[in-house]
Amino acid sequence: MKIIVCVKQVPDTAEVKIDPVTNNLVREGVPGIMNPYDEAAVMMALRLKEQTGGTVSVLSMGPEQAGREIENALHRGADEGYLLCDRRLGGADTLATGYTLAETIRRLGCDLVLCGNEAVDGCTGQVGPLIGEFLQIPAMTYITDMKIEQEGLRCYRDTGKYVEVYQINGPAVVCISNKQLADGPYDFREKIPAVHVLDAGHLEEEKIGRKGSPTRVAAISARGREQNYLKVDYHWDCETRIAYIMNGGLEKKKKNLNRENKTSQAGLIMDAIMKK
Amino acid sequence: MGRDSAKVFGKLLSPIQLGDVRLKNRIIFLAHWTNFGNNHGYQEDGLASERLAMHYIERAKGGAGLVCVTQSVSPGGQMGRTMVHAHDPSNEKVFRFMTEEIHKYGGKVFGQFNHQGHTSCMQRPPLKLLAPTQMPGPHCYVNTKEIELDEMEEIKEYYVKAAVQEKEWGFDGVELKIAHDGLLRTFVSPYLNQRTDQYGGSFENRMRYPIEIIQAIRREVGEGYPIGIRLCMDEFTDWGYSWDYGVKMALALEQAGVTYINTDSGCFSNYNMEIPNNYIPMSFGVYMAAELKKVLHIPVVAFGRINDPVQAEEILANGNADLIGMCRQLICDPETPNKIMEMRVDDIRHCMACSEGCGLVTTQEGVVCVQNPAAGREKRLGIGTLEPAEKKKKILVAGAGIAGMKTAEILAKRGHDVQVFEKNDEVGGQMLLAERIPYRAEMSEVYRYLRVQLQEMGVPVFTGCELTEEKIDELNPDIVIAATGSKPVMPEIESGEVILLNPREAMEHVEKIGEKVVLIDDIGYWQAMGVADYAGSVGADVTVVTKEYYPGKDIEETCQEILYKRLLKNGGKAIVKSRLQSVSGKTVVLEHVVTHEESRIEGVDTLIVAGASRSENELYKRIKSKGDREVYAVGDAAAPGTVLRIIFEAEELARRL
Repeated sequence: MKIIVCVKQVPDTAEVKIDPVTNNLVREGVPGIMNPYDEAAVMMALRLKEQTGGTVSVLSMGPEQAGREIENALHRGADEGYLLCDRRLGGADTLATGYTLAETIRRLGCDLVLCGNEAVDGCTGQVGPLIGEFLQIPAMTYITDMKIEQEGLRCYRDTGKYVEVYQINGPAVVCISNKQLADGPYDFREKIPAVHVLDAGHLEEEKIGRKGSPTRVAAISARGREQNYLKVDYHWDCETRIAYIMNGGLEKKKKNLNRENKTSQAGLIMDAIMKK
Repeated sequence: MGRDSAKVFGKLLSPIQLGDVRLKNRIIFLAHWTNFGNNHGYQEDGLASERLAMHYIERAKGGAGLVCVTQSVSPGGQMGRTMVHAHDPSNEKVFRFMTEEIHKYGGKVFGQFNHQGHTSCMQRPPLKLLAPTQMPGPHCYVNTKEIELDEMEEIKEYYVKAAVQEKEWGFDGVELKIAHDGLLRTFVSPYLNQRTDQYGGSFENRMRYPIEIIQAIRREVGEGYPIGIRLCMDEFTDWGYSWDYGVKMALALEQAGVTYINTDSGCFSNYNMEIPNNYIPMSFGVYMAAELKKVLHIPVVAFGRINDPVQAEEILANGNADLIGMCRQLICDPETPNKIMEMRVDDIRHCMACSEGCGLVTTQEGVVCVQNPAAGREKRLGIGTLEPAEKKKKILVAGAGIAGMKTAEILAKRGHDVQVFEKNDEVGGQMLLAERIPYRAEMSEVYRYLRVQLQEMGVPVFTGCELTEEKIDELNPDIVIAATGSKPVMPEIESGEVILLNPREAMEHVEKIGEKVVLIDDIGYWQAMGVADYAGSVGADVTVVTKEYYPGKDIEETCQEILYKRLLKNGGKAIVKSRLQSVSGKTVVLEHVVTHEESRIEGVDTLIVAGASRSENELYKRIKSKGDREVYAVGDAAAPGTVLRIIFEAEELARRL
């Protein structure tokens, strides 16, 4: 089995700085680490390799120094490393990144793709599923564990209170959410192969980098916890209240004030006028 | 999973204090009409029965922290002849037995009292309907009697008498119903109470009568004895109040010294919000409890399609309520609380809010449940009644529809060696189509639960594998169960240029549903109006034709109403008292069943005929005729029917073998 693991270098700080003009992350001057979820995915891949044989390749996209994280994975026992490093790839959003990684994976060929469930800097969780979409193979998120069974590969998906168990037989993208795997033991390999550096030559130019990225972060603000139930406004008339409940608050309905009901605002105003 | 339920469901499983009473967990079996009382004729009715006691004991056995028992007060305040009287001393023996049993399981029991007022019994002889102001329902045309002060005083005394004597019999508290039906809500409702004396006109006056009753009970039962209120927060009618008024009432009731508020909504003029069906989202009513939590200091109970521990725990953990009211969920699976404690969440059989069994109470029938054959038959089929098989037999089940799976479940639970064969690739039978009807996805719970049970017991289920006679001879079982389903019967008519479909084909092949659809409702059930709704929601112009006075005659009444509304809102229409006569070209010809007048619908693309089905019982007949092997037909293979009948039948059969 040939496994490709996608890894990302992320800034090693809780105090991430945001450029006030572009709303993008400021990466300069912040030391990089491997995204902990990706680290977990690497460890998972190595565990699978140990059980079934095959190879583990590590793929990353980023500036030259991102090669360090690939080397990190090679030291742990990965077989080969690829770094997509090209100016044209700069400024990529999740769509362009998904395309770039998927096309490269298609060229390299593999039986299974592992990703971190999300990166701790952006937290979108979109790249793994996008790779699946571009490659037209299933993608599974929030996977905490994988086990090789006779019938195929079992994936355990933690939804918070339940664990869903999936079985896969064909190629798939599996996004690992169990950070604890990253701390697992491994034998440090001194001698590692050189990282292959790839450019963007095999990619369509309008689909990569800034050009291929329709996402713009409009604003970022901190906010409190959202209320977790549907709130129905008592001013609305009965039909509106029921329609709102039945469609789960998803559609905007015409919100009529009920003029006859004395408990409506209009009714209260009417009452006040009448009393005068 | 190895996870600790006390951690995962920490709030839900934690104790709570209601007055002097400590509940072991936060799950309440809400009061509901059961029709399980005995009726020996007018004035000799409303008698507590063993069946009634067993129904409530079963839920305590299943682990509910609190069980509320619906009762009526005063001889004229019954909803039906089989609703138990709270004030009647002849109920002492049964109730003492019931409270003792409930306490044995660590549960507590409250009596819920209600004078039914303008929603009292309409059976023969009908009761005089009492209301604060003389006006019909408005849920029915029968006019009421304006209640007089001495009558109010008498009813109040019945309330007090009932509370005092039930405390003596072992009840732990009382709950008064100011909810979707009954006299007290008509007093608090600004529309229904138009009195001009001290009991009407202002908010304080409207609240006066219920508060007088609360205080009168309080004087007799003492400070710590819980007096809760089931409070209708929103009447959900054009004329009724909204939840802001509900909050105002709750504050006044708290002031009057009640122990907790149990939320509720709807009324007889809007059944849909009173007995929410699957068109109403799960836990839709949480906002009402949450609003109360913002202002009240006493505990608040959340209600409204809460059927899952994760959902319940979230509601409590987010501080939206202190307790969880479950009614239909515990009718469907009384062991829900125990399964939560044992972390067997997959084993919970969720209520799918179909109301096809429990909803029958409105027709004066006893509570039953589509998924739980033991509901209302607790003594015979309830928890712990399943006997291991005397002799372990090898049993093959043909068909993994509901009948086959249910039979296999019970057989395997009794220790038989069971194998299930399904010729299709998926288990679930016709439910796989029923769940595709808009808003009916929860119907899948019927086969999900059964599939999990079979999986957990390691019962092999072979899909894509038909059980043939050769295979039976090869495997040589002791018994064969033929759960081979049914096929729709189609009329033998020339269909012209119109595509003729049976309801199952329509659900399977959406591409065959054309722009203009005529659906013949010759069954009165979901195969007609459900399929019409499906066709309508994929954009077809649908006309439903029925020989009856209205389509969907045998559908549960709240769903029936919604389906009819959806038909009309999607631009469809219904033609009643008519039958299909013929089809020519793209024209469907109908005939009025009374006048025999012809009417024509032109330009029809698709004609769906929803009529009877016929049993697919070839396998059964062949094995039976050979006579060398024990064989049973179950479910549609025996006689096409609804899940309610089929699950019950499968359970009965599997208990016998």
